Amino acid sequence: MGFDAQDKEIVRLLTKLREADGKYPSDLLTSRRQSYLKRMGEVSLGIGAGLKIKNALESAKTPSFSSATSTILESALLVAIVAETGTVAYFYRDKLADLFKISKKEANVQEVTPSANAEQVIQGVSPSAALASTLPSVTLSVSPTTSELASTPVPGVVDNHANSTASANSTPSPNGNNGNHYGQTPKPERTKESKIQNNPPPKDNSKPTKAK
Amino acid sequence: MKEGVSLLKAAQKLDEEALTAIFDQFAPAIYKYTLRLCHDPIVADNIVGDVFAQLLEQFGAGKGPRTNLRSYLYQTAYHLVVDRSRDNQHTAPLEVAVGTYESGNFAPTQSQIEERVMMEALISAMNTELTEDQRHVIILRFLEDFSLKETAEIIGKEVNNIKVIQNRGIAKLRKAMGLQLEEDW
Repeated sequence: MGFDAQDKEIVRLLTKLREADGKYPSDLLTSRRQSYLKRMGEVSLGIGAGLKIKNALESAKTPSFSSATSTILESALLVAIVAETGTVAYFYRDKLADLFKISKKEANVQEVTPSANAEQVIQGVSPSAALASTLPSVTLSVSPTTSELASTPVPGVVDNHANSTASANSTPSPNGNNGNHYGQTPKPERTKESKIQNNPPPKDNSKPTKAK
Repeated sequence: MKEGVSLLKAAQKLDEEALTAIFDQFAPAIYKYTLRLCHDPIVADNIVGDVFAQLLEQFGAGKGPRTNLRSYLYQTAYHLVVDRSRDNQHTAPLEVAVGTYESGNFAPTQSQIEERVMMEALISAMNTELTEDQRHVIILRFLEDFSLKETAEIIGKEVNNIKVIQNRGIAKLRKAMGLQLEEDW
């Protein structure tokens, strides 16, 4: 590598500095060497132990038991597992029962407790006969605690607990007029035939003449 | 004693004789290199211990160097020094690395005195003027005698980058020494 004269002097000094010796103190070197040798022994031992474990695992893979013995062992293991599960279930039966109860209660949480306003609104609604046929029937389950509600029948609500089925009766349409509905509005009758469509008016291509 | 590749192969098989030979061969050099970087004999000794402990672990795991053991050991030492220097900055002078240079029972001649002044100026400039990278490169190239390629491998940079760092480092040293020598004389 090319250095100029001044740089060469620096490089010369640097290489001279290389010769300056920072010796490893003998006490530090000795103790470091000992700890290194100890560590080396541990690593070698670790590798040896690892090899032994590996060999043991490999030997365990080879079938040393007969099939009958293994079947017996398997069935014994199965019996032990079943017995243990049964014992645990017996000791914790109370907790298990509670758990089942909780899960059952969670499944029945579809309660409707309508307020007084809601009742009025429901009673005020009177679907027409045509609409009532298209609407799906609404079935609400009412909790037995609401005794007041059970006595007042709500239209369209099936009371399961009272074992009485009240069918929803729509209010009769006044004067037979059920209002305008799409597709049900009667077509208006035409009063006069249009002749314009059969005989379209002739085009007036003539230029306007100036009145003299 | 086993040499080179055969020593490395034996060490990979955790041959105790080879591992001991590696320690005896490289531990003093690694200590010297580390001492030049961190300026603390105790820290340098600890780093030597860490370097060889890592080497053993790598060999134990079936890894470790395959070709250049010397570069590998310096590289490990370099990374450990850099990690430690990030934790705490050492500002001790480099003189601890050149202790024997100052020792001598004979009366120094004029040229020896001049040389000594130059060396002290150089050490001072290395400690104060150079960046960390420049110092690493200068030490590896000129004090540890690694090639550009090996230095690049140890530091983890491109060869061209190492060339640039080296030239800038030398230029800085030249400038600093010129100034210092002018002040001294």
